[in-house]
Amino acid sequence: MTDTLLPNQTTTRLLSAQGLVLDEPTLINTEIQSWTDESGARVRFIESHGLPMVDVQLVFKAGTTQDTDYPGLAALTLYNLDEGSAGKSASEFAERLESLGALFEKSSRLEYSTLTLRTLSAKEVLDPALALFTDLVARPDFPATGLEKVKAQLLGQRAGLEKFPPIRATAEVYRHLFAGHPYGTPEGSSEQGIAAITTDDLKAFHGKAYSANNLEISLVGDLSREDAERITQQLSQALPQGWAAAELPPLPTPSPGRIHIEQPGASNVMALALPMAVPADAPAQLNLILANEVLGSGLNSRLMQALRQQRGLTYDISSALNPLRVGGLFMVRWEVAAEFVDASLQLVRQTVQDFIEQGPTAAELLAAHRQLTGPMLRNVAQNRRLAALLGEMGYKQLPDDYLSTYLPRLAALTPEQVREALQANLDINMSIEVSVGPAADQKPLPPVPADEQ
Amino acid sequence: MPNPPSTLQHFTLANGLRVYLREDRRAPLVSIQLWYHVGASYEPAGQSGLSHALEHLMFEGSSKLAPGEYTSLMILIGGEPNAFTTVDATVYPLTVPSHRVEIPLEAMADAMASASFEEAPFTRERDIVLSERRKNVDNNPLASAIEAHEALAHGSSPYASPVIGHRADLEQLTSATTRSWKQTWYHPNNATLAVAGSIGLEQLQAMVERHFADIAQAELPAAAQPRQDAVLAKRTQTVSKPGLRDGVLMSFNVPSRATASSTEQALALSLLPDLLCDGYGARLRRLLINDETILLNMSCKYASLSRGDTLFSIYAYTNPSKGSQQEAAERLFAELGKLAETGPTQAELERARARLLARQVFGRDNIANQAAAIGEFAVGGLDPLLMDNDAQGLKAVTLEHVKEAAAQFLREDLQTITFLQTEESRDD
Repeated sequence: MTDTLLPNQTTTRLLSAQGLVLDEPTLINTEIQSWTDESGARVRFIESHGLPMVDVQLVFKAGTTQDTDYPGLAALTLYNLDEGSAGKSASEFAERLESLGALFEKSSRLEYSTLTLRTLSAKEVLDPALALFTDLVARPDFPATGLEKVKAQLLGQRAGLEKFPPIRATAEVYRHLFAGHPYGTPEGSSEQGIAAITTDDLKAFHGKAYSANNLEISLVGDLSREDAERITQQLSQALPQGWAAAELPPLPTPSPGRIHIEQPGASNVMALALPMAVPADAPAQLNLILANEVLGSGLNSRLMQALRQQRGLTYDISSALNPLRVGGLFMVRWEVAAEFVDASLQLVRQTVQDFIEQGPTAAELLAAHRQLTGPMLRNVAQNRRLAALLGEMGYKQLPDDYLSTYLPRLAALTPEQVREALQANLDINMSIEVSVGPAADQKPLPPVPADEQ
Repeated sequence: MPNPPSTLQHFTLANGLRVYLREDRRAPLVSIQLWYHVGASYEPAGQSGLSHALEHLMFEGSSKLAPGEYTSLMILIGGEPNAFTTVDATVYPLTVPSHRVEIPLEAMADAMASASFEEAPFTRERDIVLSERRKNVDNNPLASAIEAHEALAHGSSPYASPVIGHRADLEQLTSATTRSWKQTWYHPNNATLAVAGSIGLEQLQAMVERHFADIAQAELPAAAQPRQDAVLAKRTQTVSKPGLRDGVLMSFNVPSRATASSTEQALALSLLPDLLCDGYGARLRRLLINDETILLNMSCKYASLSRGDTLFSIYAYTNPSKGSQQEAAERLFAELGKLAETGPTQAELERARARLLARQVFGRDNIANQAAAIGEFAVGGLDPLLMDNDAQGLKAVTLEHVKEAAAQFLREDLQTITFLQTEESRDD
């Protein structure tokens, strides 16, 4: 590899970078207040008076893995929350909330459904915005016209995503790796499920899954602790009570596989995934976060060097960890010309295998730590990012000191510890490999230019 | 208590580099963004993608920086080195801890003064850009359709050319042309340094002087302001591709802030996305998605901060069970006609205005957004010092201003429509 400026030998000619000390500790002292309210909702709150605004995030354990016999129930319930609430029609509702300048968003994932509200903190805006938001989450009317409309929207979206290669490639990994398990329906719906679901099903699902003690609340903004307690109390008391999602069944035994989805396109979208049975709150997660950074994050990562910088095969290749409650996976994704599908797969496989065997070098680890420091500093400086981090801490059940200890704990890890975590949790022989795109006669990799070796 | 935004501060070096600072002390971070006033709309015919290609090559070595050192060093000090190109600008943004600000300033100055690149990195980056195009445009049916749509809507305006470049142009691109593009445009008097965060003007000015003041200014070629074609008529096309959803892209040739006849006119146009599309209370979304369900989803865009004439666009997915794309487009256009005839209601205007004003507050959450807002004003041909008047200006927009803007610009002869359909349904 060329061009890698090793952190412990920064021989730069920049005058302002002379004598740069890079191992100084980076302090994060964002204070998180947390409590469980009377209805059982867990609250995480950061008081932040710099801007006249408030970010609220509600994370219900009401993701698509809670779907019963009807794949799509969780998504349709979430998407119908703003189709009319507490006697107000969807339009009336939206006009009132939007006339306050407030922003409302919702998203459905495998394990969670998330709703966010962003509003100005002036009382004459905040109070009515929160009242509307509470109605929306707690008192949906689920009118039949709304369900019919949202079903058509969801079917249209499904059809689009089904043919979109990046989504399709990821979906194939989940389908294969988690066959027969709730994680094995990554789209979160099926045409049959959507067709069968009625407004009664939505009401029944809402009555359970939107219970206060199935909820993690994040709150960041221009509020006192007293305000925060009052707001969250009002919200959770309005919700259904007394239901919590059961733990999911254990994962099926994984098996390796090679899947090709033939479809027209200008290239192939690729995925290589390894099962990773590490719960989201396990200590080994930090080792794996560092490892992933070295292997597949940023321009200097091993994968980016091998595929993009040395060979110009792709614009972007990255890897990611997806820790789920009862397991998880590690996945590399890239895009490549159809004639290099096999060769690029082989190169990625070899790069991952070598990395699992060797682990990172000390220099790579230090660089990875620095590469994770910047985003964390930027995240804790923004209310919206903080609200999202609090939500993540909630659903991963991470302790309140997670943000302040994150960087020091990463810094303390040694190359050996990271290598051991890699070898204990990832096995290249279990890889699921997917390509989505047109087939072509395969070519060997182009030679690496002399100066890139 | 929350603080109001600080006043935008400004100085200009003797060599013409314009510097703006929005001081924000909420976190010990500073966003530094060097905006060069050159982008895809400056490129000669046949050389599309030149500005973006140069962006890929700016840190392949300069008098103080080894190839790739910028990336590594900026990551080490807590930044996320990245860059992007638009129709009007090439931008190098970086957010770093306050006590590290001088390092990126020195690096950016050094690259401005002396960046160069060898043949090997040029060839490599050209291949990477071709891969970028393949991934983001050629293998993405909606992105390809939007590229074709914007080309048709902009006609002979330089805005018709895609930022990433046409494949044929990229394949012909040479290192010599790319080097000469830098020689032509990368000068202090063709750049704006936008800064937001925890730093004072005095400290910033000392550092900027230290590193940028010795770079000589240079004469710049005349850059024609992109204007729409003098004679326009309704334009339509159909794009069929596998994987494309049924839909309609509809655009109107409109002025930007820089070319509008008045600020009120441009601000009235800037309210259109919120009035018509964004949020469930927006008129078209309410009528066409919620009530009539002929559309399944939609978005609107007005690129107000462009240095030349621009577009107001509506992108919609249509509902195949409720009619054809053509019928949906007719229905959409009929509603725009009503807006032009009677204007919005007072409640609609207040809703749209409240959303825009609230977003100005929300935007302050991220210092990088604050710096970007400064850069967008500058490359859009406007004085950034005037940006803080917008809140007041928006409050002055009347029902009549919106009605007039709709009547003047949401017209059939200014309209371009691209019908989207999946290739499989072409023979239906």
